Amino acid sequence: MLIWMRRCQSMSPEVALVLAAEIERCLHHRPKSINGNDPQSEAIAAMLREIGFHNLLHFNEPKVKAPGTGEATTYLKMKSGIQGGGNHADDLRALVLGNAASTSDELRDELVRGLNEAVLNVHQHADDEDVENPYKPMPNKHWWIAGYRDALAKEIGFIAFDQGVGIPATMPRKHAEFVRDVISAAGQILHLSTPTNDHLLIKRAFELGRSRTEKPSQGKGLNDFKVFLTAAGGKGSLRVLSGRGSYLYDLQGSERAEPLPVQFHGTLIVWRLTDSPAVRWEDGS
Amino acid sequence: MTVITIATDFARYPFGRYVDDGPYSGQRFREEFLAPALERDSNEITVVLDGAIGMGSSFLEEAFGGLVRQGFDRDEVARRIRISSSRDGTKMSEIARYIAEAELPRHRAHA
Repeated sequence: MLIWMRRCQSMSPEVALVLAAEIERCLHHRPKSINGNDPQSEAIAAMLREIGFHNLLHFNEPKVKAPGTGEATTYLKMKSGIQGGGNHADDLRALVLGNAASTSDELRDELVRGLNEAVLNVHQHADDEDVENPYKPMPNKHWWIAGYRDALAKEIGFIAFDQGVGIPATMPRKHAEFVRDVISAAGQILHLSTPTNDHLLIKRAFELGRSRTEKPSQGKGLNDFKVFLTAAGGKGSLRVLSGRGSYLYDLQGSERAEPLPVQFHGTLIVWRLTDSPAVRWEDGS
Repeated sequence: MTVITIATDFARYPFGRYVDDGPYSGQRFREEFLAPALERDSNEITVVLDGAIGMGSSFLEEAFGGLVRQGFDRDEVARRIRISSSRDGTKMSEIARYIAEAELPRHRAHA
């Protein structure tokens, strides 16, 4: 397989993370099956290098200009692992909190709480022994995380990804069946082919604050994402892609759930927080 | 009376539900601190939250709700565990909810 990135014009950190995960998966199942090149764009190549794309995959790093000390964005380099995501919670805290020692206790508590649950959530949803997964993921509930801190935009971001069966597939059965019945009926009326209800199931999972079949004590952390954003203030969003659904929660209170045209193997969680009073920056703002 | 201060007796940054999640999980806190205290001391157990940062719902549910699943009587847990927090009343009600909603162990639920 050839991954031709030469003419790539733009790339977000979350795309870089999912791409790295997919390459790692392919190399795990078929070593030496991947070849490719780096983007011509120095900005993208530098972003990939700084976020740890090459390091994670043991690729040669591109020889692009090193970022200066005044560079606006610093990255939490990609980390990949199995279970125990909490081992990296300290790194995440350092990245997102920076030197925010003066952040109020309440906001700092909610910030760290949201982060902890985000990391934990990755491996809780990474797999479910009861659900058949035709996709051949990395074994052992593998997860990938990354983050960034953009001083210019006053924005922090965190990205978590796994290749598990996804949130919709791990919803409690009674809720999944209800949503499925509604969608199925609507599909028959409208003559839709293979309608998906995954987007509604993700939305429902956040409303319920849980997601796992027969294990109601688990999955409560999903709601901590929203609690964290609300407590942090500023402009923030939470985006989830899982199965054939997309879910976006905006700090201003709007929610959007939409079906995806193709199956997304796993769960991608991206949250961003801009201009939050919970976060202090090096310039003292 | 037993007093357990999470930040100093256990961890300043408690994290996760199970021991697989990390060294300072809710399961470990329950098994090594809460459960032994309930068995050893017949009086009230005070758990101080002040100073501990970022206790997520997974940690709290497993630590406190997990006592009911472990076999402790729900009413006794609710009566004997007192949560102390100088600034965060929401966690007290959150913990009370986890104790109230914790499912009984399967063999007890069908008894």
